[in-house]
Amino acid sequence: MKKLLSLLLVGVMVLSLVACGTKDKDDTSKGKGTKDVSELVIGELHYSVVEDGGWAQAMHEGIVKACKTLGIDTEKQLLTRENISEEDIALVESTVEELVDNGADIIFGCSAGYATILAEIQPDYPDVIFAQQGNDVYDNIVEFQIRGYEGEFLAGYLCALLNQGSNELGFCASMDEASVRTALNGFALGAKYANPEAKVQVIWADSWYDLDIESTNAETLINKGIKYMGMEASSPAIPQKCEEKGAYCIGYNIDMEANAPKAVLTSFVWNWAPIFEDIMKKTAEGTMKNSANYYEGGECAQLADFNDELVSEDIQERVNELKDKVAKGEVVIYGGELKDDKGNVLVAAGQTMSDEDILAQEFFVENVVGGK
Amino acid sequence: MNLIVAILSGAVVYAVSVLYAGIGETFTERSGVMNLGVEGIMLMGAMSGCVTAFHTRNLALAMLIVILTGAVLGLIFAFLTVTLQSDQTVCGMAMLILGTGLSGFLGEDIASKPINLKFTKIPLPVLSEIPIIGDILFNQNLLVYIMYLLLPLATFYIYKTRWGLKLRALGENPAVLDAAGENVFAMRYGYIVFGTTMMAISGAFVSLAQTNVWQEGMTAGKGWIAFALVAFSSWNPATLALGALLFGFISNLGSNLQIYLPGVPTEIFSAMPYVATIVVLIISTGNFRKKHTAEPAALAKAYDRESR
Amino acid sequence: MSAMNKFRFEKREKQSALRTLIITAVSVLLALVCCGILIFSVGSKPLKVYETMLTQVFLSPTGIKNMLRSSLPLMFCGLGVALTFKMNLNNIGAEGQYAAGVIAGGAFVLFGPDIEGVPGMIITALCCFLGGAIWALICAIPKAYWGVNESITTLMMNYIALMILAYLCLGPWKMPRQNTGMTERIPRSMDIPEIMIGDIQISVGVFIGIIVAALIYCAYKYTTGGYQLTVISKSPKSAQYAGISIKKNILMVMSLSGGLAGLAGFMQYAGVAHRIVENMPNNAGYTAIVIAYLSRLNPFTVVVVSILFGGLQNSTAYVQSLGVPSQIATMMQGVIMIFVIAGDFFQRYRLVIAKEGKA
Repeated sequence: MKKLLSLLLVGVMVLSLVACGTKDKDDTSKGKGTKDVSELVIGELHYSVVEDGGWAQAMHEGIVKACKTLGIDTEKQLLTRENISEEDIALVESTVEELVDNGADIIFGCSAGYATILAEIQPDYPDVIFAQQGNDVYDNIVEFQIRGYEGEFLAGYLCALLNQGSNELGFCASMDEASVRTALNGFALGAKYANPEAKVQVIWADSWYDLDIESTNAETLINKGIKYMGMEASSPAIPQKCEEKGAYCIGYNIDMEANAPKAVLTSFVWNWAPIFEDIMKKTAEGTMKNSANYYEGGECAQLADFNDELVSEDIQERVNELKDKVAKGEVVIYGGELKDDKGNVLVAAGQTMSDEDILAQEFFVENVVGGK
Repeated sequence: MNLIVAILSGAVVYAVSVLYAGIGETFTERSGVMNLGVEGIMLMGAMSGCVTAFHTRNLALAMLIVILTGAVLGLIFAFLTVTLQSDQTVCGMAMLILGTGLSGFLGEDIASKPINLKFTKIPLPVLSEIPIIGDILFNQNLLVYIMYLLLPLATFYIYKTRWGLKLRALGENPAVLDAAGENVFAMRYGYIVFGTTMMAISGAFVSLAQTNVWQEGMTAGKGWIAFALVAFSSWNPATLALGALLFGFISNLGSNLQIYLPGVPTEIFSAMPYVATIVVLIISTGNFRKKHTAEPAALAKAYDRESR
Repeated sequence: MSAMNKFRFEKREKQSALRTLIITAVSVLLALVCCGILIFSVGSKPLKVYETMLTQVFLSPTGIKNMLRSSLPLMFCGLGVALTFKMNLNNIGAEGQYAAGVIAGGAFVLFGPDIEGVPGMIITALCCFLGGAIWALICAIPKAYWGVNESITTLMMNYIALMILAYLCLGPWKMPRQNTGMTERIPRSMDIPEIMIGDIQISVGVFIGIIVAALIYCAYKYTTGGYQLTVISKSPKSAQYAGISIKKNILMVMSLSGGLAGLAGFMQYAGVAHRIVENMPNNAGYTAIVIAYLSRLNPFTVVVVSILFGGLQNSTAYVQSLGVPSQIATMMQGVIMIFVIAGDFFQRYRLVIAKEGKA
């Protein structure tokens, strides 16, 4: 027994020596400073595989695109880590450590759930930039978010324009989370902009991924007489149900036209590349601040190409006109007077909602029916 | 009326998606073997079907590969549980984990890419013209129609044929069959392989009929539901179909109630199918009057000749 | 049977711990060879992958720290599940009982009186235990009194508990200004402490796990209740003749098992995550079933196997750095299980080479 214990102790000591040794080496070879941007090593954390046909895929494509623009070799310098579930804190921490060991200069947390974990361990890795999708909550990690409501606003506008003779639009939502509310409220506001009488009936799946419930919900809306709907889901179940029943929808996350060419009018797509490019450039220059926050609209929150078979040129033009107006600030999406679905005034006339409130999305706008 | 048609027709599709797996599991359990790995095998079926359809553009070939995939997995499971007499619960969990991992791994190249090839709805002439029922039952895809034939066949097989009698005996008391000169091991192998094949078809139904895409983990718990419905139905295929329909009906109903009963937290409707399953299970199988349970007596017990 | 039979399997009369160890080790080794072929087939070097796993996950100080943390919920769920399986109760509901425990504990921390520090921890742990126990009792009562199949009810209750947990985390309990489903941090004074042993940081939770395992072991060995359970597990009929109440034992074992799963929630809440998140159990309750079986329901083995599983789960991160797809870790779990299961056969049987002629 004694022998065993002493052996164990020796083992532990040897290990600790080895660990200390490697740490020392790291400290000398690394340090904040300038670097050519093409030499950066990028790490990314995903909660699923990147080919999820939705959120993770859009995020990954953004990173790849940014890397390509900046001449970063995605084969060697982009470290993609998939299936790192946000609930398993120890796994996330292990992954971060491993990425840092492999020389990562930036670690992208590609799902909001990593925020608390990364913020807590950031002090242990002062030389690494942590960039996290999420609201501006923490001062020690870079956070980025897209004004998704801008794209959804256009989508809602498009649907309401097409929805001649009816005021009812639909929306298939997954779970009651801020990102989902952003999409839903943006869609409803766009519909209202086109048609002040427009109402958006929302229906919840209460699940992030469930083919049956998603297609059932789409069918429920169609049976209620709704022909145009928006959605927040990663599977192609809703577009396919619409195609089968002769209804139309707006894809989400990535361009979904190929999944249901007779139903998808266009898709709301995340274009993360500009944000990532900026983070990468600044990190290389050594000017990236940990407290930075990105909240970008414009080219980041866009609609994919229109489905020319379903959306006439005239309508396309009108949507594009509105896009320019939003870009120029002529149309303020969260401008007053704005009421919530219970009749309370959210924003008084002549004022604009703060970004903080827009990000938190603790409301449903006036013309949403079926909000929680 | 339209509403009811829609709810029921959705329920039929849902039911069929779990029924293939359910019938497979019914036969497996009737033979005295419990296979907990339904979900993993379904995922393997969904993946292999999609990969084949994607590369060959041939649905028939895809289904053949699906069946082969199911059969191979079944052979592995049978070897472990019948030949090696290992614990069935843990073998089932192993199949679950293996299937989940392997399907994600092998399907990575085509994940989330539309296949554009699927079992489309084929309205049956004349029958689909029948008001109400026609649209619910006879405006479906080929796999649904096959299920219409399979269900009565399966029920007939279990209760009315000599083979069915042997199957039931196999699950109740394999030693008696063995003594009568039947090959207990071969029979169990057969039923296990049949079961996993059906589970794989269920998976292919999800990826090639309900949608036409492969996504990691896409069956999202259907395998577990199928597993639960088997015991729920007292190992009877006809009751199984009713149970699956009920489950589908309630979850479809919940979707509609969100619109027609606003103000109630939607989670209540979403939880309804699960609550209903528990309640119905207690009412229908609770032995309040000392009823005889239909559970195969030898279920989940490995057959060991020497301890006969 | 036939004269041609040369090989025959014979049941082993005695079990030895050493043989169990050797056979398990050989099975794992064979499984690793099999996984190696898979890894090789995707163009990576198997030996390099294993070396990385060994040095980074199982032998490095941070690796061990994280491995122990990941093992905490698995350990407690595993201990609970092993209890019910010993009585031939198919409790697949650890996942839901875990969630229910977290909900009960969270309710106390977020809305209960302001008790912090160690007393607060103990009360939270009790709440978690009770939450899990009550959730399990909901299934235990129909089982005990009306013989309702517990594998289905526990499974269905999982979905319900997870739905409630998600509802609370995304709705009323959500931390303001956050856009994901999580609650406020638990007060720091209620964190389960971690102590340093040599260079390695170890959560106190691990020791609690070992103590619980010891308690269970002693209960089986030295108490009447434990003895009753052993009798029931071996033969329910003779237990009945001996006047042991099966109903009472079902209720007791199920609630204990649920309580332990609830404690798993507490360990994750106060020891690792420090907040409640939307999908907190993250399949720990299902993995626990595997752990309980691979441990042959022995509480001490459950502790060891959970730690190894924690490490295996964490190795996902490290193997990806070598170009191995993320699913390999899951697949490895499956393959290792299959080989260990198959290896079990050789513990029960031995190969006998029979002489020519009559077998």
